[in-house]
Amino acid sequence: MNRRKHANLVPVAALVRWVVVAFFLCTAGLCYVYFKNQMQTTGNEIRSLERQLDTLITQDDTERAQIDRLSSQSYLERRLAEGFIQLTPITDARIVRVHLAGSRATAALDTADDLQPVSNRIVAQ
Amino acid sequence: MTRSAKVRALIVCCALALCFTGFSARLVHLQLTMHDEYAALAEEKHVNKQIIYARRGLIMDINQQTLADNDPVRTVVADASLMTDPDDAAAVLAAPLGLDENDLRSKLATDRRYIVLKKDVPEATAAQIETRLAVRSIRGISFEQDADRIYPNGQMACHVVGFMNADHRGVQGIEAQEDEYLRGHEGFRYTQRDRSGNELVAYRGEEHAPRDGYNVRLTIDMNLQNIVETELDAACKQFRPRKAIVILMRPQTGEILAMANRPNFDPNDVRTDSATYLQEHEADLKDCAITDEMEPGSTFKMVTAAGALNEHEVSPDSMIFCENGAFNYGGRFLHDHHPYGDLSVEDILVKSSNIGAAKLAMGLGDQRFYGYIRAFGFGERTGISLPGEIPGLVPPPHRWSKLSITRIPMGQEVAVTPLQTIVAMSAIANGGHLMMPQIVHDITDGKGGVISTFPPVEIRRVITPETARELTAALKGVVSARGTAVGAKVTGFDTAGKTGTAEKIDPKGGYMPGKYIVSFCGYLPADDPAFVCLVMLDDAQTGPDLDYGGTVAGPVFSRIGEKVARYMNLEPQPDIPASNVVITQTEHD
Repeated sequence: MNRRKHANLVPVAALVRWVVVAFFLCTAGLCYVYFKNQMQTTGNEIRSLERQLDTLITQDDTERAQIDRLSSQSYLERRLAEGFIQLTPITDARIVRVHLAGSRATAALDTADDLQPVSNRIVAQ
Repeated sequence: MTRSAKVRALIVCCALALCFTGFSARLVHLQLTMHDEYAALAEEKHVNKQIIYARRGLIMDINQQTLADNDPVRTVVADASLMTDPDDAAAVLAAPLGLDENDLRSKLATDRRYIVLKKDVPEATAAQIETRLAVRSIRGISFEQDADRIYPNGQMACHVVGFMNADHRGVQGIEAQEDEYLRGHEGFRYTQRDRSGNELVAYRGEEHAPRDGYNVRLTIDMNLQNIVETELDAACKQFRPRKAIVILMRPQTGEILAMANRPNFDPNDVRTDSATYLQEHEADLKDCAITDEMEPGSTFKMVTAAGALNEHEVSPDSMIFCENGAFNYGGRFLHDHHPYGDLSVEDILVKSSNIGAAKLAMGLGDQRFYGYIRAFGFGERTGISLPGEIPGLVPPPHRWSKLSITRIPMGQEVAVTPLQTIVAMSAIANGGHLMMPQIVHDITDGKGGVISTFPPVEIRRVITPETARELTAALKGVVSARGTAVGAKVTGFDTAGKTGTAEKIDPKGGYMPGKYIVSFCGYLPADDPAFVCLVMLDDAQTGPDLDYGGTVAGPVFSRIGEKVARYMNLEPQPDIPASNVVITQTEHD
């Protein structure tokens, strides 16, 4: 009777062991799938950001090329000729020359003032 | 269990075992033996090597103004294996790409995975097509990044900057010379794609980032270049020469500040893939300043005088008898434009006496004279960083005829490039130091890091500073009222220089009557030069007896010199009268 009673007992320890193993296996499987999805999502994000960056770089290059075109000597000359840019010639009377220390003209003038009348006037005399 | 049942069970077990053994064997065969083959097939199907293009570096002037830049464009590429409806795709693409719809349809109705449909498609057009494709859910069309080279200044400094061919390789100018630096290195990346053609970023393989091309900064100043080009255009309009060249150089460092040729071209319009175009525009594309050789004429007398003074054979005041305008030597007469009796060495340059120059060279002797010609850099490449430079032609003394010692001193029987002429003049302006001409200032990466700099290079000392001073004094006389180039005077500045009027060589032999190459090469301020300028016009159309260096090239030099001095903020010398110089006597050369 006792032997039969023992034979019908549920092997709890073994069952728990198998349940734990199965749980870990399931968890590992789910983690694998989760991380795999995460990699895919991150990859898509990377690709999207790379595209955005490429677009920005391209836009930057396009704008820079346009700026170069519009600020080039040839273009400005053309606009000047068209009359779009209005420039007034500077008269001699409005030009002052900053004499650099040690220059011949400065030495000749021998003055402490840094700003001197334009040398053109001296020539014109 | 009966015996027969056991046997049946055994047979079933064996059959199952055999079956699974077969499966296992096949698995091993596929996974191990055939692994490489199938892996390669899978890779071919799903893995792409994606090229990451490097951006070409910029070319800039000394003030960082851009001379060559990149304009982003796209290359439209199709993967026909991903396309479900080629007719629909052809209908969407044909109009914006400007292609024939039927041609496009036949291209797309294949299994090819890489079909280039059109290159150089503007960004705006590409964006427009992308939107249309997305709306109609058409797959298999991609847009590869590319760039079109643009030259914002058009024709300005075109020979210096150069241009590129259809394969994005530099063909001429700095584009060709510095191609290795400008080009950069392409990167690549191995990518995998799913069935829909979308990249699986998680499975990216080996990746190498591209290295963008380096930026090249030139010594050219576009403000000075503009001055030179404007005056050159005015001169060309006035004299309609076959060719015209102006070079501006800083004598102390050898930096080329401006360089312009006529005829010229717009590098934005050059079609390197058309042989007809290249043939028709050969003359326009040629950089005459370094690839044309010509007899220099009287500008070469500076070499003769420099040699004689440096060897102390004569002093500036030594008197030379100029045979009253006709010198019989070797059975041939050598003439001066005006008959002169005794002339000082200084006056030989001022009056540009052929006979005087010949006698100076004869006093020097052929070997020493030849030594000075070579020392000034004639007969060898100057070493400028531009492609196609020629060395010119200076025959050694053992190949000279009896007349050569009287002809070479006045710039005949030798062939020099315009650049060699200005480099030689710069040596005199620079106290006798011959500098290597430089066109590249530095090379930097996109972040401003310096990759390479080019400090001034002194090739050799040609003459002593004392000789250089004596020559400068004589060359100042050339621009004075008694010299050959009074029109080259720059108001407010002591100017030194030398005229040249060389008869044009006839390819059939001898000289072409009435056709001249006129030039003026000078510097200012004479005693502390800020720049040297060469103006050269080939076959200028002038009135009778007016095609001389002093009357044609001299005034062009004067106008350029005045504007350049103003731009450089040079101080006019108080002792130089500003009033117009009164021409008392007209000398020619």
